[in-house]
Amino acid sequence: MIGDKHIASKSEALDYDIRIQKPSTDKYFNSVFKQNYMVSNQAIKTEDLKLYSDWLAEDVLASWTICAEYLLNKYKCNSIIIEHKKLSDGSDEAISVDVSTRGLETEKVAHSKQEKDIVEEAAIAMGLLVTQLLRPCIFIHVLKQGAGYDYYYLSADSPDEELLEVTGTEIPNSGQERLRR
Amino acid sequence: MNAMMLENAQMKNLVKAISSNLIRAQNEERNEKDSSLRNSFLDMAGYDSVFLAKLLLEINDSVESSRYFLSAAFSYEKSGALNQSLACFNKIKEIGEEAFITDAEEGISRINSIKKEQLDITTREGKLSALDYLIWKHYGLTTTDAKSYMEKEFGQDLTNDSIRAHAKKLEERKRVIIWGGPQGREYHIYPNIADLATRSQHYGRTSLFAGSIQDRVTKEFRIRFENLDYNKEIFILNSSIKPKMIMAVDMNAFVKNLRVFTTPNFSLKALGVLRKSRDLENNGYKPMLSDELDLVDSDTLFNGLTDETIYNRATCGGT
Repeated sequence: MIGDKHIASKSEALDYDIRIQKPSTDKYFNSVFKQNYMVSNQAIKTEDLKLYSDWLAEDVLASWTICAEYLLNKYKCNSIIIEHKKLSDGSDEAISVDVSTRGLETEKVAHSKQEKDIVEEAAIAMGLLVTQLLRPCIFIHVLKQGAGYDYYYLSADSPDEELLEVTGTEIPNSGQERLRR
Repeated sequence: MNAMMLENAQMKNLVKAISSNLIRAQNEERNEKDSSLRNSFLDMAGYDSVFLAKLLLEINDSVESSRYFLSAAFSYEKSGALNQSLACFNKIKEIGEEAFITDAEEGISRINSIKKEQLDITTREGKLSALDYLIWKHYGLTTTDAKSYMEKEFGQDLTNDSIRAHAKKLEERKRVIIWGGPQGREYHIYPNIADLATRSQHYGRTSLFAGSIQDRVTKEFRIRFENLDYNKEIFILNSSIKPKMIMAVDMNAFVKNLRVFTTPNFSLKALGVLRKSRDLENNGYKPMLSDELDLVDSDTLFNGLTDETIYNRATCGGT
């Protein structure tokens, strides 16, 4: 997502996944994508996480939002690349999207949380924002399944609920590997 | 996903509370030293999940209902609320949706195989689980009983204050109901049966039920005075208990506490045997209610706010 932080997310039922990282002209970026990306006229605003406030409590959303903003600010990131599989024809697509934060002071986040927690919560925040961008979500809920906590969402264009998996990692290009474990 | 969840305000609020508490619990998974906060969130999520599952069952959505009962079962199992978890798994079997039966049977088998020796009683949560285990095993304990059993069965010499603090924590998590206290007075601690996913495993057992008086429904019973020693007034205990329960009180209790029984939503606790409403037929009270409801056949009543005893059959000689 930001610098060397990466987020992967997928929705298995409809077989699309997204990968986010800071736009770059360096060799690493080119080796990962090996393709051109489109510049989207859409933008992601961290404050848009409030779109989920019908279904998730304010304190939960606030914690996710501030973690995402902390990392976005730390790495001075104002746009990201999203790579995803298009539902219409299954082809891959990479798009560049501008990102903006609320401009709040975020330095204290690092003191109140561990670095690992920040990356994980930021990952969820960015995963939800990107999901909202690609397929507007009208319902989300969490269920306890065995040892895990499963996030399900319902998009406006489908009657079927889908499982949403998000992970954040500092190891380049390893997010999707973690999800497939 | 049930379409009602998108529209119905009560269901929306429950979904939001459940999801948020599960996320909070997930965040607390990282705290390996103390699981009490995580378990509190899991218990809250489990409680709300059971309530939502019951609402879904009322609108005949057995699939979505089973999904939430299963989530509640896993939440409770993880927090150590084993009786609540077991009731959820049993309820899934009662509903009978094929897709959930295997999970339910595995869950029942898993919980039944847990031995009390597996509890880590060196931790606060372990002591809480041990007390929970004893209360459900003995179907109600006083502070003194609990202290004695903790020593006998777990080798733990806890003070009365410590027992009371643990019991209060269990009550906050809605696993037990307490009558008595405060300070030096004995606590009488009972399993919270009313809020279980299913009460089917507990008929015929005596426990404490907390609620408020909603309606007098004696007229919903066709009465044949064959058993003159059995003279009851019958009330809906509380509309927020799902499925709702009725409470039979002795005529003596009714007559001596007319103000209580005519005050809308008067809060009380009833100690009595859990039965089905049709069981009253044996005593000449044939239910004409549209649903078969669970019944607490009370012999002792307490003011729900002050815990003052307002009726005791043994001392009032009532029927």
